[in-house]
Amino acid sequence: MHPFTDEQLIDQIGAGNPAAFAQLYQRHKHALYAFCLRLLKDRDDALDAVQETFVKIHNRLSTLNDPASFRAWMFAIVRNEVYANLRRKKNLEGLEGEAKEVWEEGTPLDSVIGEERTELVQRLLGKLKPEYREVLMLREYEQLSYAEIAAVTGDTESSVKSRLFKARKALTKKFMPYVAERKEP
Amino acid sequence: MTCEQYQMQIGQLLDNELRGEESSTVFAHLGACFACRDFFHASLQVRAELMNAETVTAPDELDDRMRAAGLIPTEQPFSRKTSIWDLRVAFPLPAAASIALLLIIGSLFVAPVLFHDPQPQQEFPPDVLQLVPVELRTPRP
Repeated sequence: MHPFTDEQLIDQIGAGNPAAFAQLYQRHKHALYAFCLRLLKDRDDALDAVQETFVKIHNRLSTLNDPASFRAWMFAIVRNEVYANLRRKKNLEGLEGEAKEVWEEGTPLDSVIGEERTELVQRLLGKLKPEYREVLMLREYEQLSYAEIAAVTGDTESSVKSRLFKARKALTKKFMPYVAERKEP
Repeated sequence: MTCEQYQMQIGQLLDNELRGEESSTVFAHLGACFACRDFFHASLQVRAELMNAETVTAPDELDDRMRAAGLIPTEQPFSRKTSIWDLRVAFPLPAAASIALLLIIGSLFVAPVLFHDPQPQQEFPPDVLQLVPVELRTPRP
């Protein structure tokens, strides 16, 4: 589907081909927008963050030492934009370091009973604190390896493993009783 | 190892980040522990539901912003030019009507050529000509 790899496009951009940047943008815009929207929960904020991310990618691409790590580098930039936005909104409680609680406020399962399972899981995902939500999204939707997620978040791999585990465990525990209820006739 | 540790490894197993021998240990534990087996099944279901989520796509406004910022060209770089064939596929009825109209108009130009009689017209017989008023016998200029 895509005739060129990211690395080839980056080479082309370095050679001064503006169409290569357009193709790189077309390839990654949806993933970055989805990442921002799921973390910021606001369309306009997500658009701002993605636009700013591509401006920074455009301006800083020449500083990328290893083109093979482009995706992790790109997600690190967009993550910074997201967190800058969250900080501006003074919604950063628990964002620095390891949070004590996995859930944001107000996550009772009661309010979601009756929804379809997919909606339920999406709603629960949206209720995870950003530092847990982001690792889950980078793993599940972007298929980044633990090492790549660690590069994005600036953490160690073991920290990523730990956060992924806590996020999954929290989601799974909320989900399990619902599944059990649904099984009953 | 505790169940908590096994459950952490279950996540790594799902992520394909576990070595072979570690996977074997986890599977052996799953065979013996109901709680971890339930956790494993629920984790699989959660993952499946995450994958089922509606795909999020960036709105066109993002393209507009990028163009305004001069980061991508004004025209869509990868849009294919619309061909006559595309129009025929996209609009079959108008296309068919247009083609029929072209054929009718074309036939008006082609018919005189195709059905032109090279033989000069024969004159009316004298008895018939007598019936025509004199002023009409002279051909019009």
